[in-house]
Amino acid sequence: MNRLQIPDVRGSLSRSWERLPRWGRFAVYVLLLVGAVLLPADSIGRIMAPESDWKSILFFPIGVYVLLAVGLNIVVGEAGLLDLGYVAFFAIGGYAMALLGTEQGWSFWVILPTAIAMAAVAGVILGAPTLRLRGDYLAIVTLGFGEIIRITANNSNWMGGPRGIAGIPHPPNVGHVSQLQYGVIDPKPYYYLVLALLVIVIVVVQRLKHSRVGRAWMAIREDEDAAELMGVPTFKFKLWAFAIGASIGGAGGVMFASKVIAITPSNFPFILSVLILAAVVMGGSGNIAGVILGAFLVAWLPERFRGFADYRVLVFGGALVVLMIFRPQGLLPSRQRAEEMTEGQGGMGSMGAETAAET
Amino acid sequence: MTAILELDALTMRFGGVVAVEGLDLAIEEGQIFALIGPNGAGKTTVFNAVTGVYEPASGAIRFGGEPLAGRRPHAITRLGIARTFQNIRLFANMSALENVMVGTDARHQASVPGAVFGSRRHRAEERDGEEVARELLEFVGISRVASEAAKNLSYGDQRRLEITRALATEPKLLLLDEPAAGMNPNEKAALQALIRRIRDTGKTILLIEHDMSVVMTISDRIAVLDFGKKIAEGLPADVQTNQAVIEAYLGVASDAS
Ligand SMILES: Nc1ncnc2c1ncn2[C@@H]1O[C@H](COP(=O)(O)OP(=O)(O)OP(=O)(O)O)[C@@H](O)[C@H]1O
Ligand SMILES: [Mg+2]
Repeated sequence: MNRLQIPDVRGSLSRSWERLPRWGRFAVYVLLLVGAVLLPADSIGRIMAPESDWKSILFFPIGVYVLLAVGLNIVVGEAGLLDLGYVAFFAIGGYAMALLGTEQGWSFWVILPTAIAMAAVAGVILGAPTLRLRGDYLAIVTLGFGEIIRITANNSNWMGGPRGIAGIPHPPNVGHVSQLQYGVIDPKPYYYLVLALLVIVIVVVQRLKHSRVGRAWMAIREDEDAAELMGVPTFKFKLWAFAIGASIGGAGGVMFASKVIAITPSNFPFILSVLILAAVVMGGSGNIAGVILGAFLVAWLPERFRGFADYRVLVFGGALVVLMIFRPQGLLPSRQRAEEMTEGQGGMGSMGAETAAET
Repeated sequence: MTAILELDALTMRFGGVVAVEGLDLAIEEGQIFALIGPNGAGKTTVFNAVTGVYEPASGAIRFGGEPLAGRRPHAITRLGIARTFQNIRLFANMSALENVMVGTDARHQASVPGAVFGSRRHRAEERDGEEVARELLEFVGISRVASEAAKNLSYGDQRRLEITRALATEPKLLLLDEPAAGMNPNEKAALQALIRRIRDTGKTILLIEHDMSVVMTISDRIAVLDFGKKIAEGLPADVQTNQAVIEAYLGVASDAS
């Protein structure tokens, strides 16, 4: 699995993927989906998670982490913006589900779009002032935002304080299909719910990727100043990336809260932002298959090797070091990448007044 | 004759450095206008001011009679000014075609909703964008590398790709910052022909170039900068024999203020 992180292998994989005809890709998608539907089987569980409840971890952490990683990937992988506080949007979704579900008695299906909108608005409110800043500042501000949401929850009575909120309703049952009865015991329906949402999100993300929006994100990631000068409204598209990423995080929070009955601020720690970011970067930012794999590993490995739970952080550190060796370019800001490129061409002109604008 | 670009007493400062001082310039439509001068004279800074990268310290820039002050670079591009960079700044990991399509996107409207729901406009723009981009790659002569990553292109092809990307934004005025740098004589000859062909499609060209043979053959008019000030302007033949210009290039102590 480590080999997948070596750029060359990834490159040749994606090249043969691009050569596949349309129906071929469609067939692969269908196969993957069938695989995902069959995943909760006991026989698979015995191999994948002999020491824990496979169906349960398939929903959380695996399913939810994958969803979050796909969302964060839009911000970090596509647009190249370093967000260290992504957990904030997950928390907004979780608290929206908890508060609107318990206090207002709203149904899951009403809360879901509401929370998505709320998270998107939060993303815009956070992004509007900060996306004009350069990368490092953005990282710091987002990091602070993640903490602010958690600390606010901790200190606000209306958000339940440190004891959180209990009695969160489950999604309503759909007909009498056993896969769609949302109770306490069977985690499978929740897994299918998150899977369905994931499929929608992936379709949306892929469509965006192959459009003016996706090209704009890529151009911003590669060289923001050059993108702006080629007519890309960089601020507008960065804000879109932020809002879309936020709304996916919010949806993840709703999913999570609708199953667990009770949430507390400690469900939304800073380390979760780091885990999801690590999943995105390890998997290969910008490549959705890689990101899903990365999130899967980040969620699944600690469960699979429960005995080593104490070494979790150590393993993570190790994985990150490996990452630095094989993908050192991973998270460098875009301008540096552009400079790497010009260095390679050797000896041309002076650096002169090339557009080093602080836009 | 109407001036498409006018600089009015343009001054640019960086801290204590006055990079451009009181520069007046009028570029007429359909011209190939060259801006020359020794290293550090302030040529690239003029480009940066015109394209909105920097706010001028004082003075005005007008494009087609409209003042450009306070506009963001992407808005200036949409008005019809495009540029290339002295140090190539392509989107390194995107294909040549994608680089050019970022340019064509400057004229497009579809945004997130259009892309998500596959609106008719989005689909039409995608189709047209790719078609225009391929035609431009053909026009510039690099269609064979359309699907290569920009960073893997040869140096000359990267320079040509920058021109293609700029053309894709449908500029009225094209700013070229040392397009011949690093090219061999054959490539330079082809570049001269290309610049003429671009002008013949009705565009105006403002060119920064150190290679005097290129400048003298293709320019309709030349302005010379030295230490941020214009020291001469005129037809190529006049500039070539201008005493101040010769001194500036020979490094004879000019009045360095
Ligand atoms: N962003 C900046 N910050 C500080 N000084 C700058 C900046 N941009 C340009 N300068 C200074 O302004 C002056 C003019 O630079 P500019 O790059 O415009 O010259 P140029 O004529 O393009 O030179 P060259 O032929 O070497 O490209 C130089 O002294 C340069 O150091
Ligand atoms: Mg220059």
